[in-house]
Amino acid sequence: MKIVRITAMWCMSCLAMKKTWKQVFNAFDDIDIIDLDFDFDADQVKNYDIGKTLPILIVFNQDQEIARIIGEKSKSEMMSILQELHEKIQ
Amino acid sequence: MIYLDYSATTPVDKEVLQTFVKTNEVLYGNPNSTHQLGLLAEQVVLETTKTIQDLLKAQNFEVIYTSGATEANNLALKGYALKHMNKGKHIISSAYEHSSVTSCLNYLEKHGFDVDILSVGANGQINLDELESLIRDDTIMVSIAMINSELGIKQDMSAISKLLRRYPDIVLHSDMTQAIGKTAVDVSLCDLVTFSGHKIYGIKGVGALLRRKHINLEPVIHGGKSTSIYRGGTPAAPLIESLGVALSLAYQDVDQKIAHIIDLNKTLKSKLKETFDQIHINDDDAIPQILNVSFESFESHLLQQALSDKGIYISTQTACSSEASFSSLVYALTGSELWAKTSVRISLSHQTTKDDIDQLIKALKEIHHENR
Repeated sequence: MKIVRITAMWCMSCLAMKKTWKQVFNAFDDIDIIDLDFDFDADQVKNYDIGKTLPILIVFNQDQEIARIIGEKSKSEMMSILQELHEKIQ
Repeated sequence: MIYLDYSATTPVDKEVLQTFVKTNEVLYGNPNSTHQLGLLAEQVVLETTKTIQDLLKAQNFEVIYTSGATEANNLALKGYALKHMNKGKHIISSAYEHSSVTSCLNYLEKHGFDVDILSVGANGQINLDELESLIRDDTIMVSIAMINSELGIKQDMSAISKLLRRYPDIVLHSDMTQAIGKTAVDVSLCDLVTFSGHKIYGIKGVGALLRRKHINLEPVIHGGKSTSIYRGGTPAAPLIESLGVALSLAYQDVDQKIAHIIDLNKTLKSKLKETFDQIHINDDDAIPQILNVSFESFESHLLQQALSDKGIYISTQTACSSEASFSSLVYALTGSELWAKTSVRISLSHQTTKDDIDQLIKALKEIHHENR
């Protein structure tokens, strides 16, 4: 599973989510994260048509987009979203 | 034109501007120069520092002049963290911070620091138990804005400071950009304090970091001799003097100014409530200068644009939003996506009149009818 994670330096929600992401992603051994910065990687970010809210995680399975996780989520919410996605693709 | 965005910036006071112009014309010497004109410019800087220290009861602080609050926040956060990283790399902050603080914290996190963000409580106040629970042996700094710029939430700095006194190795930084010159502040509660000139009818391009004298920092801007070893560059005497004048004027008749703003705020709230059904005041306990309100029928950027077309200027807050409308802070505080999408900030000043409020209500009514 590949996740494109789009954040920005000025984004408090992005900062607030970093610990949760670390803890949740550690629980899975098949997640590959690609980090993009909203401002510094603007050329790549515009390919994803991301809408209005940051942070955004775009989840891919075999290069096919399967979900978008937008904004702040609790650890349990993140965990259950990723577990469901895993079940779906298995 | 009706300007109701005083928390974003303020018009420069004429006396401030005249002082700035005159000092540029007459005392243009480099304060580092040892000739008479340089010494006179240096005297301007020294006198301004004394004025600021007296006004803010900050005799135990160095006044480090910066280009504004953003640079002051950079110096406070990066400067302290980088200087003291051997003691620990853990920092605690809040969800109420200005983007200049958030950006520094994201920068530090990318460079190996560990940052914990306090959650948003139901009433907007920092939860002291949560703050204490996050403190670790390697915590070096807590940074909490006294007043949040979007909602006007005022934190109890006295209680935060009292708690942190039990942890003498942790310094307390507060971004007081929305507080200094607008409300009573006690800078002695903190170790590092940020403020800016252009929020208090001063000139854009000058601010300051107050540094408690035993606190060491790593400079962010290196350079030659200046007023501070922590910030290089030729001291901008006219700008520095203008900051002192702006602060002095801000605290002149401050009680009457605040009373006037409280009165306007009450009037505005009551007129909004009696005129519109579908509104929500997002923090009823905010400072009187800031009224954050959601008009449920309009996405915030559309309402802002419609008012702008009528010559009335208010603000939307788009933290954590790449464009348009959505306030993550209003969402966190209220739990309502609708209110988060439709919140606008109306910010008032002692220069605001009741007629301005009437004109705003009239324009809002018109927009409401036009979009039925």
